[in-house]
Amino acid sequence: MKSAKRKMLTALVTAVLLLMTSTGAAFAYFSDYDIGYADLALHLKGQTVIDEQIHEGDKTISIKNTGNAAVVTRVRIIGTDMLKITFDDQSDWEQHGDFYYYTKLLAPGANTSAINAKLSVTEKQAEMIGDTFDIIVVHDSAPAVFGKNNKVKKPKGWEYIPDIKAE
Amino acid sequence: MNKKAKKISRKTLILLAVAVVMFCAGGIMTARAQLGIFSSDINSEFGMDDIDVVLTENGAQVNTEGDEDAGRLMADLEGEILPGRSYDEKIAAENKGAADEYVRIRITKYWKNAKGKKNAKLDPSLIELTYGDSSYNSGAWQRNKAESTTESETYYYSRKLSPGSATEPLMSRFRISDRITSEEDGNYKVTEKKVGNKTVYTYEYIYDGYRACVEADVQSIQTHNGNDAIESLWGVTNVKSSDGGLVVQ
Repeated sequence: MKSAKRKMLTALVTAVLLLMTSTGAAFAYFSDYDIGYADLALHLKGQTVIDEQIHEGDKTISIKNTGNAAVVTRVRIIGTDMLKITFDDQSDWEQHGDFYYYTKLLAPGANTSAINAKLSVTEKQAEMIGDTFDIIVVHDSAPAVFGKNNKVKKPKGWEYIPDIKAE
Repeated sequence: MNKKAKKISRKTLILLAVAVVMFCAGGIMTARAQLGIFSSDINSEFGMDDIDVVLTENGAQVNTEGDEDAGRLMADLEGEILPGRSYDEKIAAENKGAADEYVRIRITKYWKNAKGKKNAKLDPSLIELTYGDSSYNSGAWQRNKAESTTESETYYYSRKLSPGSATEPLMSRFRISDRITSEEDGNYKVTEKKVGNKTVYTYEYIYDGYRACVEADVQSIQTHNGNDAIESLWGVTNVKSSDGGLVVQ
């Protein structure tokens, strides 16, 4: 019996040693890495206000971007048949239908160049108007969104958009 | 009292002899392994510098050490991003070491809020990355579909990179999709509310104020014993070293 136990033990030790010899040696591999990241804020909410200056019956109009997103903007001046409209920079504005469209992106904090509206009436018209005349100005704006051709897309509800390209 | 001397049987002797031989062989193997490990240590001190890879952005090495802007990509676009506009952004890798290496780049994109918390519900596909141009079409970079998701894509450079040389650009342009303001996609909502005799309209852009994030992670390994290194370090079995380059199967 004791002999049988010894044989079993010897066989067990042999098996363990066989397992040990079949274990391969360890290898080391060489590698390296590098990481970069971009983290960019997206601003979409534009907000604009009309900046009006009145001087002896004439009105100077510009639009100011008070939001944190670049916008496209347009202006409509009511009663233009009795007004003479001029621009500080003609190339900044394009008339299409009832609106004057700003031909550039309006960056946050920036003003458009001015539109000047001057009353220009005949004597007869002046008598009809009397002492006061309202030059009514309305405007709207929309976030500047580019299409795949890198030109600004026409905002929803607008009939027209000038050809504004990415700089 | 007589003690009987116990004889060890022949079988037992044979087994013991085998056991001794096996033990010695195992010891030698272990010693070889030990030598191998020590040798690797020596090689490592010398060899680790041999494998060195860096990211480049528009041809210039990305600075990944030092100040809080370390590793920053597209830093000049902060505050300037216009939705829909396409920006040149070439991301590549360069071998700064002394040995040939295999290279892969993983690009991950996602949105996070102003406080820095990731929002996995927002659509990463609205962060549009153009991968290569003619270089990609020529097969210089191969996408591993098995490792790619809507948020992350892994590309393997098909040629080994020799010391001092750079890959062709993997990524060439960056753009926030114009669908980011799309009412049809549900990214822009207008709600109406009566307040007294007035109607108040509220315009909401879902992605306003969120931050578009892109991470580029370049990794390189030795070309020697390439297949073993690929499987061991990169954990992929469908990318193989072949004819001096890598093939995604």
